[in-house]
Amino acid sequence: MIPESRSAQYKGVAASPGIIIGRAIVLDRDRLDIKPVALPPAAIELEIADFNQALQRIKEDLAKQAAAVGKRLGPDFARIFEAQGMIAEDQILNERVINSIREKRLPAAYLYYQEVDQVIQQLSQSADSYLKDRIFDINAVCTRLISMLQGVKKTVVQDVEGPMVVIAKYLAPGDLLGFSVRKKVGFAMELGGVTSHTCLLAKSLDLPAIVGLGHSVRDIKTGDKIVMDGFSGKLYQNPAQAVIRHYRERLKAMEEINARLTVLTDKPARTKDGLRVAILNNIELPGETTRVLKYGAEGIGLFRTEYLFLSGRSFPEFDRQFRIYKAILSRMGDAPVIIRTFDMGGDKFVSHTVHGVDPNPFLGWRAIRFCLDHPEIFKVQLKALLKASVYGNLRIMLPMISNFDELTESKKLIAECREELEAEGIKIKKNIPLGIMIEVPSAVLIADHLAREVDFFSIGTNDLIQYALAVDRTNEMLTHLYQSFHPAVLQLIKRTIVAGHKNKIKVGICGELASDPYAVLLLVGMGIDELSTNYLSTGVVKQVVRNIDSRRAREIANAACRKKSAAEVEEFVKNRVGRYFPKLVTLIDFMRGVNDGG
Amino acid sequence: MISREVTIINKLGLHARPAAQLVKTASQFAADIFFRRGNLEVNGKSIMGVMMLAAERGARIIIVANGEDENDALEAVVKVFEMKFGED
Repeated sequence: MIPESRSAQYKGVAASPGIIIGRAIVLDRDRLDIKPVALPPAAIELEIADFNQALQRIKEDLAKQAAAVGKRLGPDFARIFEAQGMIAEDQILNERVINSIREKRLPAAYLYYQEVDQVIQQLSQSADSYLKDRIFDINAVCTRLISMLQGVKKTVVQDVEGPMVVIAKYLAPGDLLGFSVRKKVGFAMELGGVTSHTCLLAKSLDLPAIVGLGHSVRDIKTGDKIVMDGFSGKLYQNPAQAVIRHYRERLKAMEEINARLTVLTDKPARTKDGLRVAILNNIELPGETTRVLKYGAEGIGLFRTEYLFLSGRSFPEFDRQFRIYKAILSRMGDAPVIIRTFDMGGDKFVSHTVHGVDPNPFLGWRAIRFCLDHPEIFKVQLKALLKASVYGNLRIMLPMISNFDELTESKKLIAECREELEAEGIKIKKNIPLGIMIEVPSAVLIADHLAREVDFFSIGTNDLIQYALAVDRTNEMLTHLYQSFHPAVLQLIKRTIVAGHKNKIKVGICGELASDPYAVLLLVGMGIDELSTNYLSTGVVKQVVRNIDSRRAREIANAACRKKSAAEVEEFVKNRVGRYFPKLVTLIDFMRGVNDGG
Repeated sequence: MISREVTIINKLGLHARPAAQLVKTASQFAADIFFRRGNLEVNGKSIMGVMMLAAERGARIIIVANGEDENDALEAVVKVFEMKFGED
């Protein structure tokens, strides 16, 4: 397809690093182009034949994808595609569309969309977030069908040659997985926040993503030439040759840097003056352990157990949880593995009809709050963790602690689980370190008390920033207010580290901030013990640590905490890095995409 | 024509998998099967129809069967509901 549309540049929020030079695949909006143009009588049976053929192909495609994804990421992920397959196989719906084609003499795509739109409307009114999410499955099938029928063959993933950038209003994690079967694919979305599940998954799968691009990207058409920069959040539509050349060079440079960084994999992160910082990784899926080891991290700083709910089945039973924890622990050997207990909304477990809709989920009934209200659910997870403890170096972490009682209650439950398991004759490791996430400002302020009762702290910066600044991190209107370098945030982090060290426990960071080179400098300056990053950042973060002097970093961090705004902090830190650690500048600029010049 | 009211008792409600199970069961019979919830009536042999009910836990559904084997059909479908679609 020859691009006819204009040349333009868009700016969103960088959500997952990487560069793609390829073609656009526009999702979601294709159906808006369907017009109810009357078909000539001779075309009607042809239209029906096309419709049937398209359905058949979609079913085959979905079955293939389910098999491929299942093989790569496990059966829970395959189910996402199986559900879509069932929609495509709906005989009643499909026959109704065929009858309508004959009666109304309108295109199949138009009529199909009219039919499913009723279902989408109905579901969108549901108070149940799980049922509501099924809209994504329906949309996915619909989009495939419409693209296929309209002859926009290029929009069917399997048919596109070469690298591509998927452009959509919003992509569900399931949509993303479907595309991730390919290697060179990036995602650009109108909506969404950096820490949405979709973006976390994009990072885990090593695929670049940009969010918060807004309506402007609606001018992009399928087939347009696109350069996407997941480091800076820039997206170029039909860019000039110079831009393409620039990014080709960057891609090449990146490969070289990667090759250089992998040399670091077996070297520790130690500052110039000899201070040791442990670099760990955050993971979403059990299969990612391979990459953790390959990229040279020293352990897992955060395994998010929410993945266990991905298939939307009811509560994951003891055996299944145990198997997964055991697999991760044994694969990691002696390396520490921090497994966080469920950090999700109560709505995932208990229907809304019983408890009503949570109008403000981030301040609502979730994580440890929900778990403590439902010990029968929480204890299954705790027991599975305890039983798995003998297979490796397990550390248990509790999310969203906001007061002291939550910790006391959790510890009581853990002790109960231990007793019950031991009574059954099950062997459990003696001292399993227990830690808490520090992500609510109230926990920071009582950190001194909490530190006496736990073995480690892990600062969850994503939520800490959101709660400290009263900024909903999923609200794209507020993206500019989500300021990681806000002096208030820095002071909270510092206070946590001080309280931890006073009580001789280790303090780590498992939020996005741990992957930001400038933040790494400040965190090391504050005395952080562990940085848990996505695996791709392992080498860069190590390199940053190895290039700084911790005493100088401490001066910079102390001064940064006293600044009055995030902008001042950023300017100050950049200035100091330039002055004291010039070797870092090239690397940092490169990773942050500041030096993109396009 | 016969009918019976059932209540959704599995935690996650009528999502894709239970809906598929209902459709599979309903499709084995010649009788027409409809599900009613409030003013909404959908064909029990269509997964999109069943999903359109957006029935969460606690929702009441009236099952209507009409045709030669309506008795067997109604029994079979009710049983799928009662078994909580093999969940929980």
